[in-house]
Amino acid sequence: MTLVHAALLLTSLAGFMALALAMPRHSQHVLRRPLPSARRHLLRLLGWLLLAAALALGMAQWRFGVGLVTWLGWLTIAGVALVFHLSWWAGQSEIPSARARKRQRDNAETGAAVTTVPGHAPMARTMLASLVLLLPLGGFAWQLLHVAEKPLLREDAIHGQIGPWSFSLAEKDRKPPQVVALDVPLKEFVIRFCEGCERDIRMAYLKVREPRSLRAAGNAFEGQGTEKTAEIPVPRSATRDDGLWLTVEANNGEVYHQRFDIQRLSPALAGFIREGT
Amino acid sequence: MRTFLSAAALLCSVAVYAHTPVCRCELSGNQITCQGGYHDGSKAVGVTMRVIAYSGEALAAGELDGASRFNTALPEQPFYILMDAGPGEVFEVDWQDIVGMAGDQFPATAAGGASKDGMPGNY
Repeated sequence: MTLVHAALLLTSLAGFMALALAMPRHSQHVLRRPLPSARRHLLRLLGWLLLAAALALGMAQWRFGVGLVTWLGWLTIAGVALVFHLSWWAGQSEIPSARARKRQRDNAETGAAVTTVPGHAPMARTMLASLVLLLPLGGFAWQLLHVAEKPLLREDAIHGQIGPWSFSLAEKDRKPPQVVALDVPLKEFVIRFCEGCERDIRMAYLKVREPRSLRAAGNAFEGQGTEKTAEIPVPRSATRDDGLWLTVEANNGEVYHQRFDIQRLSPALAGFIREGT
Repeated sequence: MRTFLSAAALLCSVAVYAHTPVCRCELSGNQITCQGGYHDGSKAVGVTMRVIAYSGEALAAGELDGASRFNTALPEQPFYILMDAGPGEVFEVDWQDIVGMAGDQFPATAAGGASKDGMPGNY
């Protein structure tokens, strides 16, 4: 996963660099010479292709929605980094070389007359630029640290076997049920079956209390991708002993049931039920 | 205009949410009145309602009316009401969950599990 992120950033950066070099002003700064028109066109084409390749990479890894957002995120970082770097690069021609600065220091020590060099101005600019660059990076890191952990990767997720299929099941978040219309509390759960197993499964349901019929087996797990979500109601007179019941209906008609302790699968739901009774 | 429409389509494309049925039933005299709907507060007019005995026998059936309500007489045996908006989109109201129902209305029955009507499956 980290490799894909790195590849996204580097491809975006390379794309932006190619686009920058295709502009006469930046090619003059970086290469100290203007590029011929044909080469500029080629660089412009290459730049756009690299950005498109980064987008394709993001979408291949995370599908359209998340891929697009991730691509935009890395694009922003690459763009900001390049903007500051190009500014710094352009400013280099105005800063006296290290050798010139050393000569001036030597002159000062020997009492020779020196001209004042505004050395602190570029330094201040660099620090300010670094700060502006670090702020969004800091914000990004903060967001990354506070993003909710994926439910099925949490240690409270249950990894089990129902019929011939292995599965992982967890509450979507650790909060109490959300009370919606008609004062009905709803709680979300996430499930993922073993790879390729979904081909054999017609439907998977979850409910509080043991189901009395297949039609009343609860609410179905739905959603795109391998992780499915079910939003189930909590009955008014539910007790923690009722348990959470998973029902899986196979394509061949076989039906499997499994009971889970509410306290084990969702302490928040157990607490909600305890408070209500 | 085309750009605006494309952007709007892009923003709307991922906004697909589940539509969970919800229901609340109350007992008044010998009459049960259920108010059905969806979790976002919208009505569920025309959705099938079934009254089913613990034994599996169908006791009554109907659908939510224009006000998203359903009325039925209080059965004489343990039962549950199933709001059936489609496979996997149901809301079950056990008799014990009905507002105003005495807890000892049907003694020696438990909500869920106790006397299923041959519910298929492997446990």
